[in-house]
Amino acid sequence: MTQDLDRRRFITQVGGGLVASAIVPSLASASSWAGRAPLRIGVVGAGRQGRAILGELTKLAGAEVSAICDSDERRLGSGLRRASGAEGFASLNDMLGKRSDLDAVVVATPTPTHKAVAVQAIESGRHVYCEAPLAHTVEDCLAINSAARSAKGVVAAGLQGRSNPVYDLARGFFRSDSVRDLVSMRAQRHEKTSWVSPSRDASRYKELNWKLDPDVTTGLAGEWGTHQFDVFHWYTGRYPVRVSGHGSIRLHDDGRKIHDTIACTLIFQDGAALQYGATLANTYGGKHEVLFGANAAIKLAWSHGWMFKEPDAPTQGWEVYANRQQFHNDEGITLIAGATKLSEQGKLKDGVGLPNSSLYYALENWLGAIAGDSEVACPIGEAVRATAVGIAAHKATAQGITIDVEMPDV
Amino acid sequence: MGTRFEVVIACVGSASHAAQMRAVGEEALALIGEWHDRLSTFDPGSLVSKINREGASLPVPVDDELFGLLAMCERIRVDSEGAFDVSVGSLMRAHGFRPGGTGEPTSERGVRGLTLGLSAQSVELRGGAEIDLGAIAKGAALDAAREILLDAGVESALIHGGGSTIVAIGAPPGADAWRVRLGDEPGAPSVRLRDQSVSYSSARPGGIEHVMDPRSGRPTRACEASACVGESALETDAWATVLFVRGERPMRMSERLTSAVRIDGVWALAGAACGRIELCTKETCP
Repeated sequence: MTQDLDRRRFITQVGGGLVASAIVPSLASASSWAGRAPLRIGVVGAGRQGRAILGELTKLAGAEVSAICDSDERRLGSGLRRASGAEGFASLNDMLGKRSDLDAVVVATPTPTHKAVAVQAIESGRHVYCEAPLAHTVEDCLAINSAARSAKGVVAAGLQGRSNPVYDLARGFFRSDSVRDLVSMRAQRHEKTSWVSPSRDASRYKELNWKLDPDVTTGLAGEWGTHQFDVFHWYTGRYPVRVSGHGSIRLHDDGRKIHDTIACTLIFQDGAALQYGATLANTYGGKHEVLFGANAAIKLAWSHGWMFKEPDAPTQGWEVYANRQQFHNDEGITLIAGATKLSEQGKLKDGVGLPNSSLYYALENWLGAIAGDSEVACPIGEAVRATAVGIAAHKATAQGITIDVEMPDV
Repeated sequence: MGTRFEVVIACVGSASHAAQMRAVGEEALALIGEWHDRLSTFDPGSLVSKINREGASLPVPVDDELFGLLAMCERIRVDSEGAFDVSVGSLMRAHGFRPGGTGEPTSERGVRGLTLGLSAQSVELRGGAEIDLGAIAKGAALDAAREILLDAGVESALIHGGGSTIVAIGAPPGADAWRVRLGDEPGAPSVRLRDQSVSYSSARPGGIEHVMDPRSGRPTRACEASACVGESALETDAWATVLFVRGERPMRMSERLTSAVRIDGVWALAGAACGRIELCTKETCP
């Protein structure tokens, strides 16, 4: 029923026009803040993700980074250099107390500290954007969810697929006849990196290397998988009920207890299976998700997306004008709205990709929601569910077992 | 920046120390990636691309780091008497070195410059100018990467971007300096580096001119190759380009920077005697 309603709505709303229109709001967003005072934002955490957030906020109209908070002096310094006129703080209490003018807070600290930071920021009345996974335990996720339900401000989670224009466009096709019946799902994230944060100060090693600490990490399945699992939740409207997995150390045999390579299978409510693999030992294929349907497969790679049609699938009118790329024996239709025109104008990355990062669109969506221009693409409740799945998948891969996924009531 | 960066860290400690040093190298390379993402003119999502899109119609606010970099570029533009100018982006595009151009040679001088708004820390472009940091981005990224290594206590390392700008930390184990050869040709001379950087500019194979002279608005070269040695890779990167365009040292080029140019196959002093690179050969450079 849901599928039928969505299909009707898809056809009613867009007809043949979706292809041309879906990307426009993101490219034309700068004007939405015209005439409004900029939002004064405090960014908590100035590590790699925090710096990426600072970089995107600099590009977004309506955002003004007024304060940066990090307990590490060097990181704080590097964060302050990525802002203009921001005030630095070593503690959240100081930042929230001394900068009463702050309108909003971005939480980009290590996952195990999200709850403390996010709850305090929400309860202070600020708008909050919290990175994902939401927390390292379901209990902490629920605490953030509880705070968000009585929040005065707009609270969003950093599951970026939901605000990504390519993913939004592809979801429209997925929920139409273009893909039709879901056959299976697959996703991966491959990088070659140690996940070690270097520190000259031995006493800080454990704190900085929380991703490798068995007591608090959610591992590859939690830290990376959560973002990708959520894409499938959003597309299908369903959640996994069971997960099995295993993991091993294939490259980084440095005494760590956390696997550098994992594989797991998530079984959804309707029996469909999602195969997920992640590694710190190989880069091939990078990060992507694939949904296989009876009429077509959709491959999503965050800045890019393609549809691979089955030979017996009906041809649709818009395909005539679509941009195409060859992948060995398969031809992919580029899923960028107005790709040909935008490519000619030099507005696409490498000629076929989104002009901005997924993080940019996620922050843009949050700012738009604060301005009242749009709904929050990823509310905290969905982040609780995705994180719960990520935590369960980590447990399954860490222990090499099959477990039922207990979906929290949000 | 469209080139390969490598980090080599001399590590003589335990396996755990080696793992730590690998992590330091990863962090340095990640930071170089951040600089690329911010400064690339090929990436429509970069901050520089945003300035190029919007800077002609209104001042674009920028962060402390990029503003400082652009202020440094402006100082070098003045000191080089106009032989270095990062507002050559529209010229680079018109000559086909960047996407969106026709590739047709043009004599039109597209460089009109940029204005740095000190009070609002913003950048404004004039007269169709666009920013292209290709002559300085590698050096800036390598300087940032060096800071990561030094912060982590690294005492011996070599970092390079595309082989044309090289940063040396300390010296290799058992030696008193890193020896870096200038160019691929047999018999090419070397420079000895210890806590220094070297940048090298040369003509592309086939004699294709790819370095823009902002003064004439045309790709040019005044020598076959140029090299500059100094503490900051950002400075050596920029000044090697200046030397390639001018063929000699400008009067205001800092004495802290040493340099040389190659003309008719011979490496020679480039101007003031105070700034000559000490070149050595395979025989004279251990």
